[in-house]
Amino acid sequence: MMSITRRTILKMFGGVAAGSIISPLPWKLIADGTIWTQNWSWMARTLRGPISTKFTTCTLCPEGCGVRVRMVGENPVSVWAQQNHPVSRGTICPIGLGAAQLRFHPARIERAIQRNGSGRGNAWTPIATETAIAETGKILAELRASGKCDGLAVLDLRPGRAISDLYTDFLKLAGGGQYLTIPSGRDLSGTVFKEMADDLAGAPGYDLLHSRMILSFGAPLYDGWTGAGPVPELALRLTGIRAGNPPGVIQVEPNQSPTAAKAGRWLAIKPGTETTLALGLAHVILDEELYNKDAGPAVLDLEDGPQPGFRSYVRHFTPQRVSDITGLAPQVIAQTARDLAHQQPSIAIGAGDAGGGPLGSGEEAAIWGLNCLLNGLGRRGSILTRPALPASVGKDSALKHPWTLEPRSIWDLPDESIHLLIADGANPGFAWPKQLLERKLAPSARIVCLTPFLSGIAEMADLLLPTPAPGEWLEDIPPQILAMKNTYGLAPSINPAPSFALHPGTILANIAIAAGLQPPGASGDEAVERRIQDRIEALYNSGRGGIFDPAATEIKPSNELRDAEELRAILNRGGCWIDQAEPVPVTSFRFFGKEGRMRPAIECVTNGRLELLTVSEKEYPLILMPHGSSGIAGGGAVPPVLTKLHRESNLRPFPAQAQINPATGRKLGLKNRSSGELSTPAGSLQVWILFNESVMPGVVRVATGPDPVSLGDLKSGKGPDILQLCAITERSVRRVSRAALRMI
Amino acid sequence: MAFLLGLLGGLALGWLWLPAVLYERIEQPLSFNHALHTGEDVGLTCEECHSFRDDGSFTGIPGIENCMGCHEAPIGESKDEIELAGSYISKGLEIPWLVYSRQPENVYFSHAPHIHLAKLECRRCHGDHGTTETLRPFERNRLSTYSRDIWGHRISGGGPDPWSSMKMDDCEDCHKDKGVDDCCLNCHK
Repeated sequence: MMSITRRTILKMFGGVAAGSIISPLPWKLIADGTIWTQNWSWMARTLRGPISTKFTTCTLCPEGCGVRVRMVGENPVSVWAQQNHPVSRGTICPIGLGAAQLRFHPARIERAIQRNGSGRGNAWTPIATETAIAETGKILAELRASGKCDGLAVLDLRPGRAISDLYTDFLKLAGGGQYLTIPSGRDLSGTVFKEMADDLAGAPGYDLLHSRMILSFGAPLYDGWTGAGPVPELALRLTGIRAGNPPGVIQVEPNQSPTAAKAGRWLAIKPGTETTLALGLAHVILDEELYNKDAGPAVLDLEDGPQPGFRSYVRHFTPQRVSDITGLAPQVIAQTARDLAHQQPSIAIGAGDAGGGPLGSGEEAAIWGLNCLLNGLGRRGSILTRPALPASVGKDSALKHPWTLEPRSIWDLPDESIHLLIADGANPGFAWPKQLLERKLAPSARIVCLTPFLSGIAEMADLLLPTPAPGEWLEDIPPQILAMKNTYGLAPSINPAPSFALHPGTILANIAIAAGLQPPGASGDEAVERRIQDRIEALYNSGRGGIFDPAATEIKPSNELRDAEELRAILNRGGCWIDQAEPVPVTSFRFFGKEGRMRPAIECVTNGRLELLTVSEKEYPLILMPHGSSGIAGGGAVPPVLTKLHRESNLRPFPAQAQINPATGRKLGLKNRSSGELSTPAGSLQVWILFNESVMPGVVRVATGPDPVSLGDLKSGKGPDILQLCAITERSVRRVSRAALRMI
Repeated sequence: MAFLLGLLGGLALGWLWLPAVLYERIEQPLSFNHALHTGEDVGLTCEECHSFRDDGSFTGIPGIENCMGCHEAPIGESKDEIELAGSYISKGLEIPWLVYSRQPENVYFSHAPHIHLAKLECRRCHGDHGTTETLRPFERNRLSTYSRDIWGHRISGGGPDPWSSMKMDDCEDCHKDKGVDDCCLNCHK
């Protein structure tokens, strides 16, 4: 009989181990155990239930794309593009594609939190919502008592919505204060146009669907101008869904971006010389008499008057001189101007990109002037001006509500003038420099942010109050800036908001009550509903436009609808109202704007590049150019699936990646894929150096937007903000700055 | 000898004990006879119950309204028949079938491209399920909570038939064979 010793037991265990290894036991347990960890009770899981489809409008950025949501019970589980939608035309960006995940985003705020201490650190402490509202109300009451109501400001990152009316109502109730926004490059472009077009009652829009040639000054038309991917009109024409040849695209850009690579012609211009090129093209058009002055609006300052006219002004911008400044061959400049003049209708597009920022007033003025010389103002396939939307009459009063209450640009405020800033948490879709906002805040200022996510402006706030996430509350979608036609859509709530989320309107009403004020009437969802109802009735009563119904194949004229309620019902099920009104004619135009107000903006850059390039070239030998895609650049929460793709596929550049031309890198003694320090007179950041042939020699290109590695980690923040290093001029123009890059 | 005994014990643990304890057998709410419904007496086709909607999506397991046409009153006196009419149809409640082939939560699967574009037969993934006379118990993995059919009935995984398992590897293999371009978002949306 075998005696059992310690050795025997050890041998037996050894045998068990050996036997187990050649059985499925450990391998199956590892596989199932892995899945088990995905099923822990606190993990977000899709509930089982009846499957249905809901059509709605995406509210993650201002574009307002039509989407189709797959629902399981009351839970959205996936989001798709809505075919034939008049705004997005069957396209959707990766952020929208993953929108169903946003409810579970790690940066979601599930209770009111306040920042520890007065600094802008990253530590947060929970606070009772009632206490947070009471504290904010107390600050407001103090401001009112001390007569400093102008120190109150509401920052609306997406003006024009029904909720925007509630913000202005709040300010009226408070007895003053500033209604503010951060203008995008497109806003700036539109503002400059209104300055140049006399007595214009509408807003300009690009008719990309009918153009024959597009000259884009750095606008990423094929990659992230209005969301990721090509702009819908171009996508439609590229894929051959719409009959006719796609337009010829000429991309003016220093770097070979995806748009430059796909364009028919890429003009690799030296950074910051866009105005010079636009004026050079204008010179050729006027010099060769390619401009038909009888075809468009009356131009009031083409010829000399009390001040030199535009013709005299551009006389000096000969192709040779422009070539010296822009780096383009004189023949290319002249040929481009001829092509634009002959391949009409053509459009020159400015407006910047979502990450690189606005082009600047001077550039925009020069580009609008070029459009005028191309006889494009008020012409199909070029620039059409859409009329104002019908004003609504409120149910509670006979007062007419204009569609959009014009907010003031935050950049126009005096420094240190804001004492209490209440910020809306919507993603504006574009990057903006936080340091400019910091300048506007008084030393003791408080920022209260109404937001579902700890992202974007919420990262700067002192107090965060959780609001419903997109899809959890009723929102409306006003027309896009620079869109050819007015549109209006609704995004009804597709799943209920969690109990911790308060409607922004309700929060404002409670803040007002805490400050001793008496808000009139309804608040929250009910107030937004009323505003939306007013707008829909105004649209219906005007008899204008048509309605796109996802269930139908054609756009039905609004005047064929029974009543406003039918219009509302179609909008509620993902439809979209689209204006069919005739464009407003541009009767007269001034290259230098009303009273010559644009003249200084044009003159300040016509001697060559932007002034900010005059920083020591020896100390800062490179030119820093930020860039980014619409939506992602805005710093809002992006779906976890997108961050996973970021991490694993390099689909989009990280904000910490400094891309540089290999020749420039070698000249500076840099190594590819090494750590480096990027510095400008404004500061420095640690970056990852990447050699990239598509970047112009002498340029360092860095993406804006979330850092996917740190996204969701509330303690570490959202990674580097490249805009902190940029030299920023008026209205947030920052696309070129002097910089140095060294290895560390 | 001790090592050999241990070795045999280890093998027995992995090959015999594990499958016995890992899966929980759960009876289906009712015993359904596919063969009877598709046989000569009833004469239904598969598509009459497992159809595609107008929007292209697959209806999957039919709802109670499909059964109502014939079973609003019990046909016969079997226990299942009486329960179908009494517990579900008369109360308008759906039958909580346990789906053998239900994929994990993180997988998006659409029947439409597989049937309409790839022209796959139901049998390619579901085997001879459509000819069975009764429903076998649903075997639920106690750890992963998923059906045993996903991993495969053999404890080592897989099997000789194409429908033996429905893991990601199986999807990828089939896609590779058919030259389908794969990306993560195809199935993990």
